[in-house]
Amino acid sequence: MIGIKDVGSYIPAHRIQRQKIGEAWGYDPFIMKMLLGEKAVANYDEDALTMASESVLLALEGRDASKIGSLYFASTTAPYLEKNSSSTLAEIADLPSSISTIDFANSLRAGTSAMLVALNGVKAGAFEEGLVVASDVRLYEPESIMETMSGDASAAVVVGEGDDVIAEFEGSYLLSQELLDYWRKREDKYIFSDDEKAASIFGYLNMVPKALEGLAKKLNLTPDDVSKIIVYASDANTYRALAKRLGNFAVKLNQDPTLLLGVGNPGVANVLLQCVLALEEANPGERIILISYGDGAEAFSFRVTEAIEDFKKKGKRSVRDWLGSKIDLPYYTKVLKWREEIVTKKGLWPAEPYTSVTELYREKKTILSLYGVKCKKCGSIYFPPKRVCPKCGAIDEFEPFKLSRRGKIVTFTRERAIPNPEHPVGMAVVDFEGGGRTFTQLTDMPPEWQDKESSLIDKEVELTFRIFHRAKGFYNYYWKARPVRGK
Amino acid sequence: MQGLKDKVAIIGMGQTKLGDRFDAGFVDLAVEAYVEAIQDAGIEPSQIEAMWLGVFEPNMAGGFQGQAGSYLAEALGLWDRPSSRVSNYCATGMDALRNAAYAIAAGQYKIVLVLGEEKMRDVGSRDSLIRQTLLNGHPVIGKGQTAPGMFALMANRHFHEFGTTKKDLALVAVKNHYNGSLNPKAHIRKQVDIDTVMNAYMIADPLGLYDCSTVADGAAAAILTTPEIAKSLKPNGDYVLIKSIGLSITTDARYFDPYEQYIGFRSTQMAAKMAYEEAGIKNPFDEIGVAEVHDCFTITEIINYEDLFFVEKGKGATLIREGITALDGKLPVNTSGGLKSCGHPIGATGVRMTYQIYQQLLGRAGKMQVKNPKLGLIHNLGGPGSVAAVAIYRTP
Repeated sequence: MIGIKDVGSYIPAHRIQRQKIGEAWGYDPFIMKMLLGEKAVANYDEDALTMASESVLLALEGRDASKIGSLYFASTTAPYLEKNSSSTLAEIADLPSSISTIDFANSLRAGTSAMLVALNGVKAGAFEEGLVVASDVRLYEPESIMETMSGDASAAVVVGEGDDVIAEFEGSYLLSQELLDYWRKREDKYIFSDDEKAASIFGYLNMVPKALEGLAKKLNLTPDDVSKIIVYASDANTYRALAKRLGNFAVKLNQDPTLLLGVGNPGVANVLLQCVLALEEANPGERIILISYGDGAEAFSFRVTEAIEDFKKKGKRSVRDWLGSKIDLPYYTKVLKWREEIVTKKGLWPAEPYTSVTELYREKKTILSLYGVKCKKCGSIYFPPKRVCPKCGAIDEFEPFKLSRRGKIVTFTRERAIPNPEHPVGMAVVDFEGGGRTFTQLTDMPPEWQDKESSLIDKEVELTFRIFHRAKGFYNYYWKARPVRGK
Repeated sequence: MQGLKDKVAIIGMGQTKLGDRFDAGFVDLAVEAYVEAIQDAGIEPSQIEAMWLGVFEPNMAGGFQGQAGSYLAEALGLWDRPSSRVSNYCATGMDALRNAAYAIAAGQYKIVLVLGEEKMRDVGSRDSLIRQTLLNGHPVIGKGQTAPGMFALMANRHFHEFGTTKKDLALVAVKNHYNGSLNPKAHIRKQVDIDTVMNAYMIADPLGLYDCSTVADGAAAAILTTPEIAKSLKPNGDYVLIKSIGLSITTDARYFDPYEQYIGFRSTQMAAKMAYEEAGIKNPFDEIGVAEVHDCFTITEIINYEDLFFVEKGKGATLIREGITALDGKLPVNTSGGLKSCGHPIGATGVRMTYQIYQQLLGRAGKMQVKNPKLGLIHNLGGPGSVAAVAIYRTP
């Protein structure tokens, strides 16, 4: 049996009420009425890669990563146009170098395309398990409806062959289409469109039903055979327009507004995030159809297996856990600043931090995979690693020690002196579960953590992969600590 | 152990006014401190046999001045003799003096010059030391730490363990600003009240603006010789003897050390033990008459009280609350105004502290003068507390 074995997701902590965006732009009452719920906003130190790392690590939690033979990353907003993100993610996930890493891009259906390639890889016997992650920090033009409807998130699935498949892959139906409905040239920051109504009729409203029809025919499915149809949709109006074109299948269209109201449309991650949420709440025997759209459409059929019960028992952090753990942004201007729509100098001054590609490469097992050392003589754990044990004096008697990502704050401060886009910059000494200590920045601090009177000693934190700075013109990534979210 | 005890005398000292010395370059500050020192010593430049220059980081002002011992020779026109640069974080000044003292004690030279200096304010105050923490160090690990941040980590843990409060820190600032107001060479000569300190702009919780030492330009110089030469040059006994200097280092990776408790500086404790043992001090609190301790941040002064064994661990704040370390207290600390108010030109600081104790022991401290001190202590701390020097001085 081939299919999905595990899932992971990530929704950034910060949310902005859509009404706040509308108020900021002075939208007329007709539009204001449409602005329901909130959107998830990546922090200033997050991007598609860092968000993907969360989903990847969650999907792999409790799994034997040695079976993973591929890591595919899908995004339209990858940090680099040349240099992949999947190899970075593989290092973060501590996967062996003898795996296939590919970035999928340039289309909103890149997420399911990556999954298709992984499923085919498993089917062809190229690897036992493959990891697929989709992640987007969608960038729409400020003061556009699309901006208010979009959101930032990532989602990951582990596909593979075996009895532990939680959703069996039954088949796919793929369509390619040449159409200029939305595009972004290499030099463009924002998405362009021309005749949106025509594009919708030729494209989305045409291809999605066709893909469903094709899949149903191929697998001989009737509406009664289907529990839920998950489709890419940018907003509620799109759903309604699509429903009219799905015939008898319309009643099975996923109507759960949770993600639209709580996250927004996360682009490439849209379908996989819905899929993760659906699986987290699925029962054995359910048949779930996924349909992604972009330069054509891809439809997939999955049948939920008995193994779903074992998956649920693991009690992993879920989409709803992420949704429930949030920080409300009081000002829309923060969103504009974090996406660099407005560039301010506050808290910054011209000073490029030191960095070295040589040093980052030499230390990547520490910086990306979180390896410190443990002294074989006295048991002392050091992160970053040492050669000589300061405790017992043993030389080169260390073995690798991987930090757990969870710990407690030993001491802390909130810095306002260091240049940074946001202040205060939390700094904390953290003791990790299972041993080890390190010192790093705090991020995603809720207002109560920023209160000058509050002590953060003994607070529980977890490491999260973030952008530290962009010295020498590249992303200098490393781990920060944040309050434990959800579970 | 041979030790330094009473083998080295300080016969002349000089100190520039500290502060935003926009009028003075590296050479100007060096000359200013040097001229006062040789005039005080009553010696000719030709008598100086060797020199030690203490400069922490010459690149702070973007240049190389101070990078090597030759920069001191260049500034003072003193060639054709040895000159070494010493750098050991904020304990640079005291380590330069220590190296010079050992050279005298070893009998290699008769008269030597120590000059500590830092030219920090040819750039904006944040572009000096804070900038170093950004431009240098690891690309990402520990990134975000600054000097105030490192000591704030100690403060929060000290608060947590012992109930020390932000108000205690403020009392240190109030005391040191008062002392600084009496010091004509201090950077800040302004008294502050407790509310101003408590409500000041926060730099790194719980350290506000007035909890932080100043970024200052300055230099200080000392002429060291043997007690015999000192006696012949100063028959009236107008000189000071070095009883001991202890210096110790601990981890630079303090905030990564799994055994660290963040309530004290082991470097200070070890340096103090060395210095007390060599000087034969049994009870520092009772025996020391005046002290300059490294108050880079207000919390540091409180922790120093404990690490220097003036009071047991955790009780540091009682000394400031009860006025014991005030100018008129039993053990006046930082009569100069300290790093807080007198200023903290990094490489100069250890020598600058020595200048203050030298003036106190010789009864020349003016409005800052404490009554007839016999033994003076200086404590110089550097890095994240990874290096500390403690020296004991006495009148002959």
